[in-house]
Amino acid sequence: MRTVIETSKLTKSYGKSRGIIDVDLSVNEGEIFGFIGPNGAGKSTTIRTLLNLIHKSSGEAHIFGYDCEKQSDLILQHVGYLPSEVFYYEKMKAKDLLKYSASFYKKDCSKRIAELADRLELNLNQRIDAMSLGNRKKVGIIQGLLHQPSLIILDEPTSGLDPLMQRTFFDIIKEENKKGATVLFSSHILSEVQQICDRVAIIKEGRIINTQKISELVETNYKRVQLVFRTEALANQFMIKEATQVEVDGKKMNFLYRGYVQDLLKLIAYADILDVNIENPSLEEIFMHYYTPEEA
Amino acid sequence: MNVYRFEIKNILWTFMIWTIIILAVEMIFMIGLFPSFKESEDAVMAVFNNFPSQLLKSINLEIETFFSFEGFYAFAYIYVGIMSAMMAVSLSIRAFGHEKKSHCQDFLMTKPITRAHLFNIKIVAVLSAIICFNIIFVGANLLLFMKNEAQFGIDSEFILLVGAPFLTQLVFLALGMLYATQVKHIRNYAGPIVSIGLGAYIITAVVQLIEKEALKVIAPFSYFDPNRIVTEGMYDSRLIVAACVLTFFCMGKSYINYTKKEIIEA
Repeated sequence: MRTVIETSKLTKSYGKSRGIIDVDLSVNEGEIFGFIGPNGAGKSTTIRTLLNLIHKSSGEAHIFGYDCEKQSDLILQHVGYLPSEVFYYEKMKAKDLLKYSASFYKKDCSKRIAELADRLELNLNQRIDAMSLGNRKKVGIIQGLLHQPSLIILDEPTSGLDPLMQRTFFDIIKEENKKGATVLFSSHILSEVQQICDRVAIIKEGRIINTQKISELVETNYKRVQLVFRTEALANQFMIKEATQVEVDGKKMNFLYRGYVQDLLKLIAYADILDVNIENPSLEEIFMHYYTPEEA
Repeated sequence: MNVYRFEIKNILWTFMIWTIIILAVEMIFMIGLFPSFKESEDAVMAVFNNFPSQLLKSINLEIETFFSFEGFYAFAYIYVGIMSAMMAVSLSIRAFGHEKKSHCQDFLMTKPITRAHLFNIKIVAVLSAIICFNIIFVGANLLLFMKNEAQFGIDSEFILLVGAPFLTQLVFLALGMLYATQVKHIRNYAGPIVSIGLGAYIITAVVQLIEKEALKVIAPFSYFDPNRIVTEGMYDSRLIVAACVLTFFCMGKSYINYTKKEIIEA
């Protein structure tokens, strides 16, 4: 299988500030590759380096075998990009912007624009500066996909889209993928990455800490649990071997649970507790666990 | 060609407005004011004689030639020149700073076209507008000169005289490019246009007031001084070199900024 995106020890620093450090990515042709991490982890920096919007400090980055800095115009012919924040020319109508965008590619995109606008329920005659964030995002989606690119790079694409439109958007991305497009999907929302991606790379503080199949990530079932016991002694005595990051504060006990929820409920059922709260942990908590599961 | 068309469309309105304003000002001076001044030559001279000579120099007023058509034209040039300069700054900031102001650099820079190519197209678009303006400007002035008692025909002196705005515009086009490619954000166009245009005028007025020849190299409106054409029939070669150095430096730095600068956030 051909590798579409390949980086080797890709590093970008902003003076003394960290950007990304030794990022090794390998995205295969035809896959939907998730790229997750909290805000400021380095997702956008990686993407912007790949697109030659910013320049690497060291390392290598190739797309379709072309050098991302020296041959970016060849690469961009086949890339569709949706940035996290969508801004376009003021006072321009959506149809004019999309027509201008299409003029950079050597194909007629008018049919595709109409088709995507129809599916996304976008009024192309509206001026972009009069549009809501969601509608501007739709313009962004169309301008990123109108030339049917071989590589689609999405940087936090769903912000501003309502749940129904998110579903339509995911359907469109899946269809493009089925037609052969490779997708790099950056997000800090674990659930949407789980929903659409084949593999995922987790980035934290500028470094890739893990790359794995999404199926493995889904099997890894984490819950943040808070129990309130009748007495402090009971809280101190209670033990669950699957629990990590355990904190006991008086009658309260907090921990991160990894395992089957049913087993957790069975254990709780026999404990003398006043209250229980089970919720999905933040992505950051999972990252922490990924980093130091054994040491914790 | 698509980018060129887009850029021309982007600057068309600015081009039209400035062209109309500059021609209107030129006509007001040369058709409206000049005959009145000429008719009242003695009275006007009496007023001017009460002014300090430095003040007259700071507004580019040469009493010896003021009442000739060409001399009055040279006096009017300071206003036409400022406006022509501001037009050039406006065109180049609008062309090179359009994406920055709209926060949509990501859009253009992720299209399959090199930044160097984009830079070249933008500069050609601005130059096209400036050349069109000057064709109209020279045409209008030709009619003016033909209708009046000008001593010049279409000779080198006429060309130098009406060519001054064009050459001044090239300098200010480069200054506008440098501003647009150097600053991080462009919040509005009016601020930098007025600042650069009036800033250069104030420097020029101060330099003329203190009468230091050497300082003229930092006074952009002195580079192609029409008074010098009227009195000496040529530009000052030293100042032409200064204008070339400034223009090429600004263009070179703008090119480096545009092609190499990182686009960190939209």
